[in-house]
Amino acid sequence: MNFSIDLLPQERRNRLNRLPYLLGAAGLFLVISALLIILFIMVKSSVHELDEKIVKSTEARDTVLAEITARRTGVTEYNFVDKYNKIHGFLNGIYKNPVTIKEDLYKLLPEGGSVSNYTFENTGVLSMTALFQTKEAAAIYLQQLLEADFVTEAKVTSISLNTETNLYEAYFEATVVTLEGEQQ
Amino acid sequence: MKLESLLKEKILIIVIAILVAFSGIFYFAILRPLAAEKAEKEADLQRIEADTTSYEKVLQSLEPQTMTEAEKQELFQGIPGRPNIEEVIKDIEKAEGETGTSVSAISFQTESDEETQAEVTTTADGTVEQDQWSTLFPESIYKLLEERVSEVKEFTVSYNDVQISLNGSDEDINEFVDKLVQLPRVFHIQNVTYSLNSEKGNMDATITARMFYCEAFQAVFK
Repeated sequence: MNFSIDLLPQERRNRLNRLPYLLGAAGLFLVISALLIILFIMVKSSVHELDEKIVKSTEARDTVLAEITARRTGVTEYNFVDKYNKIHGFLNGIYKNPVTIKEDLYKLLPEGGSVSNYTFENTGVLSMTALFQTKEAAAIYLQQLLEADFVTEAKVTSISLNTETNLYEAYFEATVVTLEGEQQ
Repeated sequence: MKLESLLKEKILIIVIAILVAFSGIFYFAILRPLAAEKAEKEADLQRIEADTTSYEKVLQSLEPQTMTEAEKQELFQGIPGRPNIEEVIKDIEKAEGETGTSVSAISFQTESDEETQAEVTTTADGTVEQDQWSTLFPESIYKLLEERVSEVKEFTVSYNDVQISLNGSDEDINEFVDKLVQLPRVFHIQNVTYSLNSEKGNMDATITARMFYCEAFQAVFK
């Protein structure tokens, strides 16, 4: 028994059928490629537009910033009150009143004590010649100076009797705090 | 016919392969980085616009500090734009009259006299430039103030020293010094010397005070 199979028509049919699919696929990828190119052109154009906007915005920002800097730099009509108050506040609040310091030092004098010479510098260095009826009074005053919060250093360098007045003249050297709110 | 069809198929397959390769390479090598660049630029633009908006708000808040000339004169009494020596003399005379002291001498020393000395010292050392603020204070005081000075260093402040010799009671001289300190003009008492005048039975005193002016403020008046 013989069988005869003719495969040729089917093969040809298969081959003929693949061509449209391939064409379709080619067309599809062509469209995709075209879309990608269009997309590229659009994105490229957007980037270009963005570049231009960035340049303009940067210029605008820099202009505003330059104006702020100009108004803030140096003394201008926009800041003179603030700047003045800043510097005035600083310069006016450095030293304690020297009269207050002197009065505080005089308050420490024992009864009968007085000062004939007083020299004060704003660095805090001072010297004075105080007159006492006794040497002990000079010692008491030195002790008072050493115990005072605003006095950082004190010493007596000489005590001598003035025969005319019959008073002891004591020469003191001290260092006091002259800055506001600070311990020197 | 059969060969022609095969050839067409092969061409189509090659075309498809080329298109696929092109699309892939184009997307990954060109389009995606470009899209990333676009996103980055958009973010940059937003940041710049946000900065601009915030700077504009700051700019709007910087209003001119308007004042009349009289108000300005009053404000700048403490640290005027020029030495105003004439005002200082008036102030001293007023304080003298109010306290009952007797001023025998007033002398002024300008900053330029002291600057000359400072320049010579600097040249001789051949070292660093002079800090203008360090000349305003004694060295030991400047060291303590250095941090606070840094906040106002943008200003160039000049000064004049005035030395006043006077006579009066201890209390009157105290009051005189106190009046100088309390004046609207900023005075730094540099040193004070009281000494007993046994002939008159009161005190002689010498006061050295430093007063400041800032030429930068003079421009506001103009």
